[in-house]
Amino acid sequence: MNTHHRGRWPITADLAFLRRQLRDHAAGAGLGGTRLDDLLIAANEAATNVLEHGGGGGTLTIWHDGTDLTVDVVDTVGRLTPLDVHRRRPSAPMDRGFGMWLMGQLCDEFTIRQLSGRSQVRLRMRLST
Amino acid sequence: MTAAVHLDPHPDDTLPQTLVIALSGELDYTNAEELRARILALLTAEQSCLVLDLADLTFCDSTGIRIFLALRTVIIDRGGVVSLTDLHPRLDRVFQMTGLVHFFAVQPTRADALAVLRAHPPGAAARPRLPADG
Repeated sequence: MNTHHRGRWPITADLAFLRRQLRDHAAGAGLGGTRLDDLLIAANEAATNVLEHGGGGGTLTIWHDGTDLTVDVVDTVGRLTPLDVHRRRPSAPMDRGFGMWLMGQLCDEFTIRQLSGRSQVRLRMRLST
Repeated sequence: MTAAVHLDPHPDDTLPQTLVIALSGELDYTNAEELRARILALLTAEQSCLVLDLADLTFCDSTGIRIFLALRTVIIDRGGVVSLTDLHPRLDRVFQMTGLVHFFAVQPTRADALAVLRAHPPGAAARPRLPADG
């Protein structure tokens, strides 16, 4: 059904381009409506984190199999740790960490791995069969 | 092409103290700060209320939300209110989830927001509550 199971792009200041690519791929994988919006918002927050705190550059990869749609966002400084997924709801939306909290709310799975000198944020949505 | 937000002012003769702007496009980290500056530049010294029509704002991230809250601080200092209207479903979801709806006067339409401001001007409501009056 799908001819493109994987997409990978550098994270640059053109976040609108990244969102268009994500939307196309996620829609092609069968994600739609609110759940597509949720993934889009979460992935945009992850990419924004890379621009703001993650060294200003990195990569975003999206792929899917029969059960899940996965987005990996990798930065170049590796400051995020697995513990950062457990952020509590910020007391004010102005606080830093708001985007991190949002990712956990919006996605079925939100994990962080530390690679050598980099951090990888993984966002995952189950695909209904 | 990076994301852009367009501003379309809609002055209302009956509400000279209110700045009314329709926003369209996508609001994100790359243009949020610029938008804040552009809105503040449009705000005249005598204006204390802000109505933002968001019908055609199709995306707003956490940095965009921070901008709305920063504008709210400026407006509250002037004794006014910020009304947000016609929220796109994508924005409405984030605003509900984060509790942001409680920080603003959210109205279904721009006309609703203007009607509320005409009926209840914020300045008039604030004046009797000065400590000197009590």
